[in-house]
Order: sequence, then structure tokens, then C-alpha cells
Amino acid sequence: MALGNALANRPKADEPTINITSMMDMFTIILFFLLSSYGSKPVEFNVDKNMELPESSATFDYSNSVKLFLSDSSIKVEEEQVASLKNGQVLELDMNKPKSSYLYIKLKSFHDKQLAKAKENSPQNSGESKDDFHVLFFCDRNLPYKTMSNIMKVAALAGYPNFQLAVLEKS
Amino acid sequence: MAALGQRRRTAELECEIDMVPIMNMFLVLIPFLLASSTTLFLNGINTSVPVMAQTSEPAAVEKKSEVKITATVKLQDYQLVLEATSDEIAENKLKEMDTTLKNTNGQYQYAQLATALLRIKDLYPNSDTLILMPGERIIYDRIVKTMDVARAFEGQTLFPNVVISGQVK
Repeated sequence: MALGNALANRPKADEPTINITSMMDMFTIILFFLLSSYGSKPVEFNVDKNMELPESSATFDYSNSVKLFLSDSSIKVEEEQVASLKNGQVLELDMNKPKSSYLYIKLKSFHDKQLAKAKENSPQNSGESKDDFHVLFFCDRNLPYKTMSNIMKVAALAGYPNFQLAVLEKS
Repeated sequence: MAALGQRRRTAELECEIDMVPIMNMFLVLIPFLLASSTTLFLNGINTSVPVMAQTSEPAAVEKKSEVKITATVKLQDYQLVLEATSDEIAENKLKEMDTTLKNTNGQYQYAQLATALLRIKDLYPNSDTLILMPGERIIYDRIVKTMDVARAFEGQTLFPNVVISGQVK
């Protein structure tokens, strides 16, 4: 009982308050940093782990189109592998008969689809559409031009003579 | 007197802003921004490969009053070769603009290339096309760097249309 009285009579301690000002400061800094790095059109690309894109001072926005990935071991159109590479040589591509390659067939099918879609969407269905499709080209920075050139030639044959070279913004 | 003192003490009471709703808002915003933040900024360089024309349209070649130079840059293993071509200028005048830039310490002389391109651009400001002819062993990174130099130098636009050579039938 005596102990109970002592506890009851003890001066009440102030409720502890957490000082959140410093936390607010930290959050404000993080918020502004994240706002500045907020991507206006974030898109995910499944790029090979060992593919290194070159850096460039180019500031043009890429447009989403058919994506062609050229790494040191494989060639992919969108998500599908269409050929493999060994020592810079494309294994499933004979440059004397490029139209027989799967790369050509795949790109051609994409081009035909895009063309048909553009015709459908052309004004008054006049049947005429502007063929200005391009390939968004992801290429490893260390690949020689010879390899690139063959792929670009096949793409041009399939109806894509225009390219957008995917590059990383200079840090 | 005592009442006046009491009033003053009441007026001096500290007033605290309730930060909890702001903290809640931050806690929602930060994970959202973290999820949508980009770690790599991707850009695109427009280019094309020349395609052999199959049509016989007369409008294919259009004469323009302004003289235009098409610069050709050959990327070779040990040097850069700049050549100027035009239908409207005499051959000897074009030759004066040609330059060969030997590599220094295995690196291309990009600054000198930019200066040479700037000279052509100053003389013929309507020029806007540059043909890039890389050698077979030239790596892609070097091609992109040369394209960067060809497009702009110190804020001045040089040759915005860069075409990579290669002919397709």
C-alpha cells in the first residue's frame, strides 16, 4: 500500500515526443531527388546482362518500334532469339541468301503487320500509308561494324532502312 | 495584475503543426516514385542505310538553289578520312576540304574532325548530310562517338543527318 502511494504521488513524467523535423528534412530531400529522376515514359527492356550500350550526347527521344537486340552471343527480335553469334559471325545467316534467314522472315512479318495496320488507320482507308517504320537497334558497344552491317542490311531488305540506335545518355 | 499575467502566458503557448499527415503523404509518394524512377536514360540516334532506288521517278533528284556539301567520313583503323562531295562545286575546290586525320595514341582526332566539319559548315551552311563509312573492324562505340561529333560541336549544329554507308539491292 505504501508503495502504491509512492507511485501515485511520484511526479508524472512528460510524454516523450519524437522530433520528426530531421526525418521530414530527409524525406523532403529524397522526394525531390526522386521527382527529378522520375521517368516520363519508363519502359522496361530485357537487355542481355553482358550487353553494354554506348554513351552518346544525343538527346532525341526514342520511339517504341520493333526492337532488335544485337549482343556478342545472340540476335533477338523483340523477345525472340532469331540467330546466334560466334566470334562476331552470325551463325544462321548466309549473306548470299539473306532472305532465307529467320531474322529476315521475322522482321518481314513485323513489317507486313505494321504496314497492314497503317493501311487500316490511313485516312478514308485510301489504301496508301506512309512507310516510315524503323527499328530500335540495341547493339553492344564492342561489336565490330562488320557484324552490325550484315544485320542492318537484312533489316533494310525486310523493309526497315531507317534505324534508331539505342544509346545511353552521357552521365 | 495577476489576470494580465495569466493572459500573457496563454498567448505565448507554443503551437505545433501536425506533421503526421504530411509524413503519411511522403510515405506513400516515396515508394511510388522509387518504383517508377529510371536508373538509365535511353535515347535514340536516327540513322539509315542507303537503299538502291528501284523507281524511275523524275522527282528523285531535285535541284536546289543553295549549294550543299555532303561530307563523307571514313573510319579506318588508324585514321579518319574526311571527303567533301557535291554536284555543284568544282572538284579542285572540294579537294581543298578533304582531310586525313591520323590517330594519336590509338584515338581518333575528334576535335580536329569537328574543326574541319565546322569549316565546311561555315562555307556552306545548308549542308546537313554526312555519310559515315566505318571499316569492318571499327567498333560500334567509335561509330556513335563520331556521329556525336558530326551532329554538333560546342553547341553548334553541324550535320544532323548522319547516314551509315552500306548498299542494299
